[in-house]
Amino acid sequence: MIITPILVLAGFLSLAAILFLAKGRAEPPANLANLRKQMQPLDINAFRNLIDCRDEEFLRRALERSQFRAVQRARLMAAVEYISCASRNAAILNRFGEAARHSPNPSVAAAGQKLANSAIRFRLNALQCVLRLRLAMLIPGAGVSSMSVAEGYERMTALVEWLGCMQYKKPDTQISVLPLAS
Amino acid sequence: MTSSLRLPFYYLWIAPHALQVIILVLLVWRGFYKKFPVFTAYTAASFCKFITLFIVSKSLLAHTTYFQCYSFGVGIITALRFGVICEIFAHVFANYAAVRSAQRPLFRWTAVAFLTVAFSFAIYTHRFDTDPTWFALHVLERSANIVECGLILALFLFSAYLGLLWSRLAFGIALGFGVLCSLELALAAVRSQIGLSAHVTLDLFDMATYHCCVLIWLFYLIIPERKPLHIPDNIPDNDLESWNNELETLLTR
Repeated sequence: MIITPILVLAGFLSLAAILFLAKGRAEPPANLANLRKQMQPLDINAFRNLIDCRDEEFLRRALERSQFRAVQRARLMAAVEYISCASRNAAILNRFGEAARHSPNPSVAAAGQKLANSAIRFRLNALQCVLRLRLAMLIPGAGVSSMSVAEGYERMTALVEWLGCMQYKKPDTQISVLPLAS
Repeated sequence: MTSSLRLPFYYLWIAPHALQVIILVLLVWRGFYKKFPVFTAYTAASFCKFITLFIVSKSLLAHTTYFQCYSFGVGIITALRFGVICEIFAHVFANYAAVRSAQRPLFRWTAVAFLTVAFSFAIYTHRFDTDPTWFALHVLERSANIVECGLILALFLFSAYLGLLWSRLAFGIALGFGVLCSLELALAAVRSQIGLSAHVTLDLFDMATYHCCVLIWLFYLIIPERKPLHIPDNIPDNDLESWNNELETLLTR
């Protein structure tokens, strides 16, 4: 008999979740300039250092086991923070790309499509990496390779820079138009 | 059934299916049947099921005939519903090459997970004072609703996390099915326990839910596709080739 209330509750919770998710459905951005402002700068080299296996090996040899575990846990937590922040940036980049996809100009539209795909792939990779990093926090010996995240993020940043330069006509605009990968 | 309930009962029974005829006409007229063939088939099958059940209920045919028609209709409709969900998955993932490969595994493994849950619930459900044939049918309907609900929820969660954009109609169809499956899950759970004791109330609630869903589908079928407010259209003259070289340098760094 307990099954009935569980399923009734599940039905209503599912309805609430679907309505909530439907309400917050991503729409193309209203103002691209505001979206750019919401992006947070990230140092990709610092992230690379955090997940560098050689650094990990060095720390493992240099520190006592308990110290190493504490340090490694802090490093992995920082790496997760980096990925989460980059993932939020990727969500913004995705909206930017989605808006550009509707451009009548085929090259901008194609770049927008590419950017949206890169952002989505990044978010997918980020999800998997965060899970792996959290697993590595529980089991410090587990090897973690998040280089694909870093590479994906770099490619995405390059794309959005290219798009920005094409759209806002700044002849002297350099690659570092967005301070994402300093 | 009391006379006061007769009018709302017949309205809720007939009106959604009358609206489905409009949906069917719009799907064909505006060419959406090519994009959503399974949804078109579902709408047509749903209307046919209604006509058949309405005629059988008004004729002097036995209760078993109604049950046979109803269970056959439920089987067809359930199969088509899974087809529609599969169709929505395909539409949502179609624009994104990056996640296209994730479409089938997401559908498959979500279905397997929720099928396991549905099977577990079905095993541990005990029949009380209900008709055994109707009980079995309601448990099967409930199991199908669990899987459908799980699939739609997974699709909404996945696309919300990744920020996938949907076409208006695909979104409307998914939203309608999400509402329908969620509330039908709750209803089927109650039905499998209480049987015929409150069937009029449950039927009214069920038909009202379906009416809302049909209105959702109709709404998303009528309103035009929304375009973004700011489309970058004033691309200045630029040295695309040089930028492409820069981009490639960055990509190979």
